[in-house]
Amino acid sequence: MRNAVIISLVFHMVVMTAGIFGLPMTSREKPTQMKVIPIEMISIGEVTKLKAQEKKPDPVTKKTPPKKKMPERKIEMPPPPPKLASNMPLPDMAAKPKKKKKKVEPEKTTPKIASRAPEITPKKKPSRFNSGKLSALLDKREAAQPNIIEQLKDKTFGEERVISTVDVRQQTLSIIDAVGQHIFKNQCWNIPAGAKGAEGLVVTIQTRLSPDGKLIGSPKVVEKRRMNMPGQEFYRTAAESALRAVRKCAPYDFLPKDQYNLWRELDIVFDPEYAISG
Amino acid sequence: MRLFKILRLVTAGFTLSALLAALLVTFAVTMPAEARIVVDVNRGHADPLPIAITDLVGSESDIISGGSVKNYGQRIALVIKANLTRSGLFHSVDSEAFIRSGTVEGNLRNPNFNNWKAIGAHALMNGSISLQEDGRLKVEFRLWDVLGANQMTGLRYFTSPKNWRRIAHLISDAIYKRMTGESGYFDTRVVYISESGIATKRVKRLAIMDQDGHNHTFLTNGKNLVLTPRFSPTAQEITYLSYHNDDPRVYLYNIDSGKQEILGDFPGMTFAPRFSPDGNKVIMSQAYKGNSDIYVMELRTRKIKQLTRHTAIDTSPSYSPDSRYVTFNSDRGGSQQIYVMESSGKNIKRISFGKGRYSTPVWSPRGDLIAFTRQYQGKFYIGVMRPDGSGERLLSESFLDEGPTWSPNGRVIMFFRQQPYDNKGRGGETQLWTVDLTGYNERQVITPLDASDPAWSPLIR
Repeated sequence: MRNAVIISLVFHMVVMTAGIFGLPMTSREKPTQMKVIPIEMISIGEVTKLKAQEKKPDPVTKKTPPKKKMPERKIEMPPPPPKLASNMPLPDMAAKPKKKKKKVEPEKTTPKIASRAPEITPKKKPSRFNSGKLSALLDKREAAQPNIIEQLKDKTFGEERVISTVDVRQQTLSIIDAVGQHIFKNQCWNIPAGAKGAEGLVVTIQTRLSPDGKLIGSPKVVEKRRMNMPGQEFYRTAAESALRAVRKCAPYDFLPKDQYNLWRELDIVFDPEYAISG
Repeated sequence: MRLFKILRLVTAGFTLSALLAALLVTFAVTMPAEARIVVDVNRGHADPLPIAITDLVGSESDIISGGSVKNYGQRIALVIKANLTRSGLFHSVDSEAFIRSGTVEGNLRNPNFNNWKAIGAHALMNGSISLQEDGRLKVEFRLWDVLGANQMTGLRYFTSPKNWRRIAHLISDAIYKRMTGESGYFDTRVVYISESGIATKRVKRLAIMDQDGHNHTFLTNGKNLVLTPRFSPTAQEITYLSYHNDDPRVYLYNIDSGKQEILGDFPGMTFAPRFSPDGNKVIMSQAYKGNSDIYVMELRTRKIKQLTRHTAIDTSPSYSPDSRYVTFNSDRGGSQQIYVMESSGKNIKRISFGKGRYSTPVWSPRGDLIAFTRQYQGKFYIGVMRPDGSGERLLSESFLDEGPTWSPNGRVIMFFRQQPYDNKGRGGETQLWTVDLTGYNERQVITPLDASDPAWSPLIR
């Protein structure tokens, strides 16, 4: 009996150890990665509101926290093992990043988004201290982790693309901005102006999109129950207005196909407060 | 035997580890939910919603007084188009652009949404009209969401052919309510003072019409001066002021019966009588010994209670929709401004603090706003502010804009506008205008003669 207990305990210890150290999702370091990424590295194209928001913190962030964090991370990083080093883009292999640029840009129909993606990769530093590549190389666990970065490795393009969290944030912001611009410029959303308390009628619509940007199924109102509640006629009106906007603006075929995994499901929040109060 | 036990333990261990692995996998699968992108849209447009309104389908061979049933269907559609367009919230798609395909009956129940989408319509109204054996008209309509490809509402009415215009207003109200979430205001009437003659000998008559200017009727003959008509919020009843032998009297006039009664003879001058929201009281200002204050009268008992006591001029009282508060106009602060007090007359607070003079405050039936007239630097404005005085917005501006009255849904304001006189003394015409809360949709209401001091009715029941 004792032997049996010992065998069982040993076996469980092995399984637990394998689970903790072997499986990546048990120890997530995503938050630390996101913290390290300085916002000022994200260059956003000609977009208005985001540009305005991003520009302001530039001088502040450059001076203070992010730069301090960067060197810390370098110190902590162990030297790359030889096998991985062979995959790293060395200075004489500077052609590689250019290739990436070409890969992203061919979406000529979506110049705003495609043009921004390559700008983020710090061209000034063609050395191996590319934060995005380093993180991908040093942290092998990320390869198996089903997070945003993983989704961005578009296998349909043959070559594996190594994309940093900066890319992710930039591309995410670009998609957010592109969809917002598309809805505004095409005058798809009629705000429920004049309704009592119209400012507070915030509606979230969940959409599923096909790779060619078409709506899959019917877009859904998150608070659908509220639409049919007595006394919520204004909300129903606002929700129907938001649904009309999403349908009218479809298809969203301007979104970059190589980032489909990122925008296959979009939550679009229609907030009339700013639109009404100006 | 031992070996067997060990095997059992190993099997149990595998089962446990499999369970653990399953748990971890489940945990991992939930991770990608964080990747969902949230797009915040906070800029939009306030354009009219494109709606296609088709003629109601009816028989050409069925003839009733005034034309064929088909003709009635066309006329009803025209009135609906005019109503919705005038609201500023809808844009009627030109019928020339309609794509006709399929059978008439089939289109009524299963419209080809792609056809309507192709011409830019977001909503579609279609329907039919037919003559019943008892001589009444059966009118039915359906409202469709073109982009969502579903029916939003559908209603049926039976009525005498002479009421066809009211049916058009009722359908307009139903569409408006379904699309905006708010009650409509098309099945309503407006009383106002019709004016004619030269400035020194002006004839003023009480007149009534539908909100779109149709079905116009004079209620008084013009022998006596009439002023400040106001609708009861609960019945088709009007209160107004009339001078009889130079004595001002407050009258009560029932529109349906035509019956008129004197509400009372008041000592001194009486101004601006207005109903309470429940229709049981009339609030007014009264000048006595040179001082004007606010009074309220119970209609059943005819008991009068004084609400304000101040040496200043207090006028133009108006109840809040819940009857708890009264807004009025006073110069007790040195200039004409708007005040709010409890309906008992206590806790008087000034709410307007802008430059110029504020007058004629009227509480919205929705309760969220107070409309007023503002006079500043030689111009007049119609504006709105919240009951606490915040959020002031000016909606109209002219040489002379005055006398705001709310539509029953609290979304449109009617007022009168006087044109300026030129050097030769010409001009000075007075007209009725409407403006919605956005301030962008300003329209004139056509009247046969000059018009002033409008009062909007509640929805006709």
